[in-house]
Amino acid sequence: MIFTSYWFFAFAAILFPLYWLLPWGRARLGLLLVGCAIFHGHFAGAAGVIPIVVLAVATYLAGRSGRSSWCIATITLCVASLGIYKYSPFFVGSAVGLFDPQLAARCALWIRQVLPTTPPLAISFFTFEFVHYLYDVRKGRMRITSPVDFALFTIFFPSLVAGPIKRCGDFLPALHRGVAAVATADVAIGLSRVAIGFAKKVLISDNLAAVINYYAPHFTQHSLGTRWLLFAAIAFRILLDFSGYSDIAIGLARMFGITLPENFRWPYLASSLQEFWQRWHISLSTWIRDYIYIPLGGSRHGVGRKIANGFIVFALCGLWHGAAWNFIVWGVFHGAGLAICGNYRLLLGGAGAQIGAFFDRFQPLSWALTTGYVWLGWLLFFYPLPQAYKMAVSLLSR
Amino acid sequence: MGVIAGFVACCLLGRASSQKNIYKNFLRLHPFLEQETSYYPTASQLVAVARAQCPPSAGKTLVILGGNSVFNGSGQKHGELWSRALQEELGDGYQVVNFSAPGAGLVDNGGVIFECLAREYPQALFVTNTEPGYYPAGNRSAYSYLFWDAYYKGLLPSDARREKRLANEKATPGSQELKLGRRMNSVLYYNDLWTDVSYRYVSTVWTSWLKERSFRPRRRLSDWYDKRPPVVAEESEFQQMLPGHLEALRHRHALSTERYQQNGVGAWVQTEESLRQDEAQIADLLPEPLPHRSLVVFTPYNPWFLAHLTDAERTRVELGFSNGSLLLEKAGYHVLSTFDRGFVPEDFGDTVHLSPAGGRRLAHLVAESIRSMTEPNQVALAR
Repeated sequence: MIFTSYWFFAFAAILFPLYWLLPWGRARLGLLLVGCAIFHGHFAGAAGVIPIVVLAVATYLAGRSGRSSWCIATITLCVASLGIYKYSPFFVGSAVGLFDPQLAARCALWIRQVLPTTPPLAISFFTFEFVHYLYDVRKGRMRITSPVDFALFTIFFPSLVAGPIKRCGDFLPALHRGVAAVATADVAIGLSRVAIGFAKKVLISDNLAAVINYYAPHFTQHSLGTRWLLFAAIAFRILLDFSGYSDIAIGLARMFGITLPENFRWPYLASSLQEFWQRWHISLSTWIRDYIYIPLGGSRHGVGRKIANGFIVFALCGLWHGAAWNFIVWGVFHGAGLAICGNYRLLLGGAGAQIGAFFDRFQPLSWALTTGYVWLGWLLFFYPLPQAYKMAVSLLSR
Repeated sequence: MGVIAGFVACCLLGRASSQKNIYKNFLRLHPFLEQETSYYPTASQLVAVARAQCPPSAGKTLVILGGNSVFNGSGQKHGELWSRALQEELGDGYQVVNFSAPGAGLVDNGGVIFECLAREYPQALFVTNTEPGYYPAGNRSAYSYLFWDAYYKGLLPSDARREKRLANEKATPGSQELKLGRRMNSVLYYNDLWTDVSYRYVSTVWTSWLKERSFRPRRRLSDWYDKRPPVVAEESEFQQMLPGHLEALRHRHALSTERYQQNGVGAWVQTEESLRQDEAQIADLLPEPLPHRSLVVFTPYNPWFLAHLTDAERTRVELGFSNGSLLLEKAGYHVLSTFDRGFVPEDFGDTVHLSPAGGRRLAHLVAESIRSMTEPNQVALAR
């Protein structure tokens, strides 16, 4: 984990005091850019930096031009790069492999020879931020002229590793407010947030991961109580890992005086799936809503189209988490849940209204159903489908 | 200001932790006190153990044990531990401190602490074990964290040859991160503080060894081997182990076919290449003049398992022991080779680890060698 490496501690121990001690806002801006470039260069290496620099330059120039066709071409380039770097081995294996496994193996070997062994660091985050920027430029909502601003929007290191996914309309004003003057209160709040994030990640999530890795391979052989404990451990492990990372990112940014958007708001307290996605990885769900779901038509063309859009969006959301079938199945599982949850009142008429009223009245039941559904989803997220199914069934049998 | 004051206070507490002996009644680095359970005692803390057990003013000869799980007494309970038997054999004039650890190389842990204390204890001896062909330097093994901890804290004696070697060694991202962490610890002492807190108050890491006891202070956990079934040195047990252990034995350095070849008359000899490699590795182990105060023990293999090897394999084992002894002696080390020194199957719990009886036999042999290093004339007269 990047934020728990000694290198990062040393880097932060040098960068933050320098930043705080510099008396000029422009100098702080410059130092921040240098720091971000060093961070990205160190963790991504040349093979990871070069593709991002190419995409960033293309995005910046397309944005500056303001021309719709350039923006569309660059969006295509960004999405294609993500597809090639992150998903090509998976697609080759899944698509070609269905018809000719030997050809798929040869293609996979060729891909391994051509592409780096791991995709460029945080290429998913870069792509989403570039697409958001170009889409908004195309809609005439914004245009970044300063290359320094654009570079900092691109490689701002606190959010580079695991989000939150930034929007430049919010980020750039926050950046300029932050570098203009850093309040002591910001540093204190940021530091506390970083400490909370580390506690979540290192003290709880990493230990839960060790427990899960040890016990989960024999999940069905444990007692029913142990199985349920493990089930909860899996759910809390991902929450605390992910939200811990976000806390560290938000806290580090705040120590520069820069406010990043919240990414998690107690998601396991949600009493419906819609509410869960308003609380879980908020920057991702709102990005998907604004840049995929709404352009696809959202809920504007009837229930059927709304449900289909939901499935498409969540399948892509699953794929964004990783290039494997279990992530897609997890996304579709949520798409199905949202299709039911968001439409049953309408589709079932009077009965639907009665069921809805019942759930509105018994909120703890809605919460339990939502939580159970989300937690079952984590089994699909982490394990191959047959194993996840066995684990889920074993939760209901002695 | 509060954050800065708290941070500085933690650093000072860590520094204080590094200088005192927190491990009361220390007998060995059992699994709950070493990295197998994510616990990493620092070099300064182990130095403090040795100082507490053998104060310089006591006038005793400090005997620091290094080496692997055989010297660690794997399977032996507290009362049966071979190093206790060694202490009894040597008597009050010596103080044995056992810093060996499972999987450790020749100069890991014990070797590092010996280097740290070599000047302060001019009579101190280092006794370690290995098997033929396995001679990793302290910075190249599983316990390299301890080497770098001592190195960056300035506890190791300066050695130009080592400096040159370290400067020329190619760093991997993993080794760079390890070194950076230890370099920072030499200023901030966070590892020292964490091991102290984990030992005395609360541990923060879940491990599969400890399960629900993972968060208990390590001082409350008795030696892991004390609660294990006793070692059973019986043929029926060996028979069960045979397939897996024989395979493992065949993969040991001492037997590896890559290290040997047959000469013109069909006799097995060690290849020139592997001899050169062994010699170069041995030269990197300890700086001069420390090899002359060090005893390397080639601990035995269970003869029951050796009997299941082919003649060629047994010849290679024998060759490994004799060549290893020659190379180490050439580099100035004292060597005790236990090949054909009367070990019987009942002395073993498996292929290499010793039963309590085997531990006592080993202690007797090692004590003889130690006495011959410190009192050469008396031993000669006694013989």
